[in-house]
Amino acid sequence: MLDRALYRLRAALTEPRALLGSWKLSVALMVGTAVCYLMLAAYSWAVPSHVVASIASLSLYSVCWALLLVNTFVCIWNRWRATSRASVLFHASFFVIGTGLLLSFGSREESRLRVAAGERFENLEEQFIARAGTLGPSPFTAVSITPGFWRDQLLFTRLEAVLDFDGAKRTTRINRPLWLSPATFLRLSGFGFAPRYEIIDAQGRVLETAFVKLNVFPPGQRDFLVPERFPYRVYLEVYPDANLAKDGIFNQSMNLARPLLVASVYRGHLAIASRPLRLGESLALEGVSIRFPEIGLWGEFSCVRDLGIPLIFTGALMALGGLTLTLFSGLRS
Amino acid sequence: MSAQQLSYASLIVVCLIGGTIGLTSLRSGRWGTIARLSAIATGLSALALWMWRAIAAGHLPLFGTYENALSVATFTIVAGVVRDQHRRSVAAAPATSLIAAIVLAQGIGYDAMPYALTISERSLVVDAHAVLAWLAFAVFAVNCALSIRAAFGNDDTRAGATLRTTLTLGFLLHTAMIATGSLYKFMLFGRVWSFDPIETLALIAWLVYGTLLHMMLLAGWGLQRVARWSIAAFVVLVLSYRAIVYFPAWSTYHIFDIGLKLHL
Repeated sequence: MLDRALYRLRAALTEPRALLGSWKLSVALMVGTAVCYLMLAAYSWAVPSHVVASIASLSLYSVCWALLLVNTFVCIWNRWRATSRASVLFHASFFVIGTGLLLSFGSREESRLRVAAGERFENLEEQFIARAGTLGPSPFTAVSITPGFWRDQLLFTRLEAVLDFDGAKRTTRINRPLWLSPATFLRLSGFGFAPRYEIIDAQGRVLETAFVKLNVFPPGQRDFLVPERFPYRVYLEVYPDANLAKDGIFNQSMNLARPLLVASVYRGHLAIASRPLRLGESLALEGVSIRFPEIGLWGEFSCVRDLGIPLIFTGALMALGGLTLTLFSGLRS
Repeated sequence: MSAQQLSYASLIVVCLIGGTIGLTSLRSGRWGTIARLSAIATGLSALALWMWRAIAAGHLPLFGTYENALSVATFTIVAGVVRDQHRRSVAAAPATSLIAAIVLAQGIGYDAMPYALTISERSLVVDAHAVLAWLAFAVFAVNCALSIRAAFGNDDTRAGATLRTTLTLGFLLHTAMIATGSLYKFMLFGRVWSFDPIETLALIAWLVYGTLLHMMLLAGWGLQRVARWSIAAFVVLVLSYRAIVYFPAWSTYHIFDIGLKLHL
């Protein structure tokens, strides 16, 4: 069997022009590509996903697909009259998808921004976490950000934001993007707590106050804030629905029902004060005190522009159309 | 063990008994009526359990390995029964029952608690993706069942056409499954493809079945050869569907078992 295969391979290689545009080369390339992806699947077991993505971008994989596309093109070109329209439609979809993927690879841009509930997004640099060129949505106000959880577990059953685009209210969810143009969309991709702090003097006058968007979700995660006019670093943990007992903090759910903030204040490396606080309770520092009168929510939004996407899904529809026609013509015959 | 888990375990036994009766009937040429009735009973039991689970969970049973195994097995059993009832014969159902028993046996070890769907699983696109995946698996399972028969001496002249139809239909459904998965990936992450192992495995299965279709349509492979390779291709498909849970939880977004991974 091996002898026969090798003989055929030698015969094919002596006439490469005859091989190009043949189903035999297509089959060989498909088997080769499948083996390459089998290796990639094996890598997925052992290395992180960004390494897998790097391996997948190696020229070996691109060459496989490029050769498959070239061979398919020559196949269709040589047998244009003899090939069924369904088969042409299916195979032509590869070129549309391939063009879409190339366009996507070359032109995809993504900006990420954080806006708190009630805040107006004005395309300010400080509202972006990462910005690609000038990509960003038009100004809007985040009317509300609403999470919902299943029982007491960290399972989101709801996460949506209502945005006001100058009078037009639109809702976005993590899996329901808002289309800003045919190739650009905005979607809610994450959320967190935004407590408001107040630094007050001995007479109770507010010296400084601001909302801070902190990464303190899920409960137990720690983040810090630095007041503008005071030399402190305030580390915070937020437990949204907590009971304070002698032997620790018990968080009952993820809903902001009875928030408890564990604050630890440092000046340089010197620990100044540390204690769990309910909303409105103060923590005495050096002549001033800090308190957290309210907690809001912030949402992280992704704005993506990808010109290849319309082509990719057009190609997918073509492929499905071609296969459906093939199936029905097979059934008829 | 809850009543539902007990019924799940019983379904494995029912599948094994139904499959064995069917295979015995195929070999001996007797007990045809008993084999047909047992196949119908297996199908109805699977459907009843599947609907019970859907009502208890409040959504399509697609969350986690336990629910997924139940759905894949139910679609597989029902596809075999429907095919045999359509042809008024016993050909696919015995093997599809045994395939379903293996799939169910894999799922029984996983968390059976009915969870609510997380926000990332609440979409018609996800429902369409899951149903297409189950249908594709079921059609390829019927193809494999018929291939087992054809590879070991069936001289049915219609078998070639049936294998071709099931291969093409399975390939169409598998392609639609990949397309809807890709669409939902784009809606969730802003990318259509990221080489998550589930995507890579689905692509491998797609290439394998694509190659097989080329060999059948263009190379003029005979019935028995196509049948043997269809069985091999089905093994690849089973791995692509069911092996994802053995990958590390950090490597994929497609493990939904709460015990294995907490996810958004």
